[in-house]
Amino acid sequence: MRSLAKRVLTISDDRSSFPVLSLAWRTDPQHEQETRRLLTQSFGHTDRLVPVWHQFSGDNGSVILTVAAEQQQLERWLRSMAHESSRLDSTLASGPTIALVGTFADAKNFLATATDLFPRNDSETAVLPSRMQQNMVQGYQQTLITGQDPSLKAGEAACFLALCLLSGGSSAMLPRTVSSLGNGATVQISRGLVQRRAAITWQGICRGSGGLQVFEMLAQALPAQLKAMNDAEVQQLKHFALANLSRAWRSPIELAQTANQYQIMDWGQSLISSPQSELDRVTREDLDHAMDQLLRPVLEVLGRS
Amino acid sequence: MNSTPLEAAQMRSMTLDQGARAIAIQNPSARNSTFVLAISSGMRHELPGEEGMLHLLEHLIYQDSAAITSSDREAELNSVGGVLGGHTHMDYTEFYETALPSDLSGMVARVIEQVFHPAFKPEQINEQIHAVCTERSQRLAPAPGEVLPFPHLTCQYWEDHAHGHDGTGDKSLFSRVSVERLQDLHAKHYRPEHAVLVTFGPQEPSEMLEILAEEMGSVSIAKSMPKATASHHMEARQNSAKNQIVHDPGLPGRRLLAATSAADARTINEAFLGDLIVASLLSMQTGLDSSVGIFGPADLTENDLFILVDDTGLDLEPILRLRALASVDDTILQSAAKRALFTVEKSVHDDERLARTTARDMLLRGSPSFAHELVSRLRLLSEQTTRLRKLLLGSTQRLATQPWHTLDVTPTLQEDA
Repeated sequence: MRSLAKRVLTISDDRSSFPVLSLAWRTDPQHEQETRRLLTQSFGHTDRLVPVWHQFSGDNGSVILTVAAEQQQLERWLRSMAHESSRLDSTLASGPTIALVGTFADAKNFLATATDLFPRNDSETAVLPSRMQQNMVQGYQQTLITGQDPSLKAGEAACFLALCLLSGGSSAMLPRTVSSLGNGATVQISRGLVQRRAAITWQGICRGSGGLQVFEMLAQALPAQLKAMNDAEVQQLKHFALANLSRAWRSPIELAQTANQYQIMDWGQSLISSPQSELDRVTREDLDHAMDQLLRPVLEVLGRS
Repeated sequence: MNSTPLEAAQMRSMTLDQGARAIAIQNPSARNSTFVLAISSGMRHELPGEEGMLHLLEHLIYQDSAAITSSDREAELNSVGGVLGGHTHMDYTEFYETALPSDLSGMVARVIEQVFHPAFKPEQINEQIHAVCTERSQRLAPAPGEVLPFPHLTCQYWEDHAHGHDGTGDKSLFSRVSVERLQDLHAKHYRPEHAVLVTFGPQEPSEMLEILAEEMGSVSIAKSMPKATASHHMEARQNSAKNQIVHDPGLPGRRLLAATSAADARTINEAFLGDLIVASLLSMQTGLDSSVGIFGPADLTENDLFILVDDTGLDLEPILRLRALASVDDTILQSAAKRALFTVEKSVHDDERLARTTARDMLLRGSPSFAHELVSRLRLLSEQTTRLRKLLLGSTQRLATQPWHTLDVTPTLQEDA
């Protein structure tokens, strides 16, 4: 596996006769539909005989086009797609990240060409400030807290593990902790793009107006519960995380799509390409720090940071 | 352990004590393992009065079993980050799990126990009849006029019960199903000698086969149960009604669903290869979608349908579209062949699907490497333009002379033809 400036990725895989190429554009959830429409148009103007298969996917602010094509024709098609999509307004979407999966002679040169064809047009942006929105619907209060995704700062693997601990599997910590409150509250955490920046969103719903109290309690309870976990439980968590990440390897298509999704969302493409070693490196301290960073937007809107 | 190396280098198989066939596929670089248990009974095996019951049985396999509740089983799989699936096809039913290779034994034990020892609790039967109905309506809802090739076109095409009934399941199951009836149906169809077990993973094949033998050894099945009769071996009869119109004033445009008999897919033959190329060529045209097989290529060995879905709104008979294919140029023909290759290749380059396809082909064809061989044949063909054209002409001529059944889903009121 090689990578160039974190925008392109190639994974060697001999299961298909056709290399699978994935292009992922970063936009906002509110512009996702329009971006997908324009990119579908662009795709329609390329040589339709070249890809033997294609699919548009993506959500939470990303649009991903994945194609399978013969190696000899892939560069010509990519040039055509770059030309057609160059009219895409740079305020709508960034230049794409690229993932290539397959047996590909001279992948390095191909990816260098690809990098030149799709110039980066998203400048480094400031950290996403933490924000809260609340509303009442039929006696239920919804609280949305959004902030910067801490993956880059706290470590992609550590953040993924913390998210698995909170929301993954049947013994997920978040629903278990919230249900112990007994007030009918539900809380979820999700990741996506906000203003093209990697973000996390905490969404809480509760009866009455106790939304902030729910988050106050969580901000104390979750780090404490994490600290109380024994080593065997942490190993079990890593096993669960590894299974989830390894699933991308079921097929070359899934691998290209998922690796590129992790790349465009800043979740760490190496988590897909080398999940075992990435997870093995995470220490208890890393995990504690990741949990604290995931809770940071909550603490900031509560005025505790 | 006596096992036999199969044609594909990393595959080994054996027959287990109770008669089940076991196959192990090794890919040393695989990151996941998959276990598939497939039973040689599907919707075609339902007798009159049993419509939808094999689909319901598949759902009930995921409910409580003799050893474990469904929620505990789900928690067990979730805790290791595994995923599962189950599908009822026309000629077989499959159950599978995928997780890390170190969890293979757990997957095998779990699936075997739930498949052979379901508890059939009355409240769960009722819940699952609702679930089957919901699944049916959710599948149909996005389709124009809520009409799809399966089940609407198949039910129109065939007159005999085995081929022509709708096996998806509806509310009439409430009045037809009882615990005893389901137990009888399960005892008849879910027997080890009707099962194929496939494991895929990085482990040594012999190691995987040992796991299968050990876990299947724990299954206790009454030996006196009658063997299931293959109802679909009755002669398939086509319906005399050839065309139907479904009116739905809210539709934005007309959709024509058309079907004719697909080539026999028991073996890789010229007609079958030709049909794959024709379907691929038709699908390359804007507004058209075509497939060999109601559930995809090779999912049935016989009496399958060649399907054309036409959203162009043009009043063009399928036969005319087929005849027009004779004049496609070589570049387009080669491109269609490569698309057909990729379509088939998806069933083997995806590890989980490879395991499922192997189970299917062992059950339906007695040949676990059928899909691999089909990929090899199409790969060779995609470079042979003269042969491709010969196959194309052969299939278009055959398909064009066969009777077609159409279902016209239209927003306007028209006089029936």
